Amino acid sequence: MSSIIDYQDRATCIIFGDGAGAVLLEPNEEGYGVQDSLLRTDGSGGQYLHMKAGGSKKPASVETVMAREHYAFQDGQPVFKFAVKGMADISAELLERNNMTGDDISWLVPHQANLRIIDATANRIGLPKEKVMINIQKFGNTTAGTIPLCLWEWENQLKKGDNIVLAAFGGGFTWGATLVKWAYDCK
Amino acid sequence: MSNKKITAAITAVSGYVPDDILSNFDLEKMVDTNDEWIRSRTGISERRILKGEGLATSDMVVPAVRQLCEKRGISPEEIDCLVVGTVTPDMIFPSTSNIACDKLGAKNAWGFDILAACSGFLFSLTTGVSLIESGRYKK
Repeated sequence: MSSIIDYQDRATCIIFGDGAGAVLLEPNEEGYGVQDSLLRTDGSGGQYLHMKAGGSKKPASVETVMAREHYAFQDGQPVFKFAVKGMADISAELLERNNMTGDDISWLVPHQANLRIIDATANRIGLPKEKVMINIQKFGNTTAGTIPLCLWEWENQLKKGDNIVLAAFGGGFTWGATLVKWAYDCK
Repeated sequence: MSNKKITAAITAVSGYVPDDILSNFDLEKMVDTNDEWIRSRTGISERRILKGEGLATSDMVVPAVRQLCEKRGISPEEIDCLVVGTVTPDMIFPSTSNIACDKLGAKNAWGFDILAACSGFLFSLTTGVSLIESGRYKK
């Protein structure tokens, strides 16, 4: 993310960091793995979090560079407001649709954008803090990297059969929640 | 042939973060902010920054995927498809997946980037799951 961050924009530059995570997907015939996924988009949120120039709408020019339009622009307050509700609601909806409650869930793996958004989601589905993966203090928001980086860090504690909820909210707006039945014990 | 429904399981996890740390105290020297303000509002104390001439997203993807293959004991040549969720591709095109596959030696893979900002992982995961569930791809 640092390549598109304006380190003169104090509201935005404090949030983001660089990092990448990866997962391997393989077929399973015993029912383990991804059970369900709810994904959403709402383009009306695009105005609050975007990059102004560099696309076909406003190609790069001397003017766009001078106006600092090749950086991530964020209007933090509306994004925060939508994220708190969006991530919590969709996580609750996912559990409901799978006839589960927080008691059935071993771990919540939330996108790491803001501790208060994470807390709101955990509270909404009734998960205590010790069941929520949080490493935002070390890495900030690595956008698409946050969830797999958490899984990587907590991999040793995950057990075969654990029900895990992954939840995210981001620019677009885009958001979603995914239910995973963990497929292996760490060796 | 088994008639059991195929699900897509995560069978290995890996990650890569660059070594360079940018702390709240470093940011205090760059913009008008302070450690207490950042921590109380976001929970963040520090973040990592990829530094170095010419380094790009694929330079984080490649070590992450290489480690993933090592953990699972497979060769990059066994990868069928590499889906990369990113808003910071190396270039507008070709895709970061394409570039990473070349660096990895994932000669039998196809792939593409998914642009879904902070939901990029969930959108990519669900896409990958659909490819596995189709029965057509194994890794």
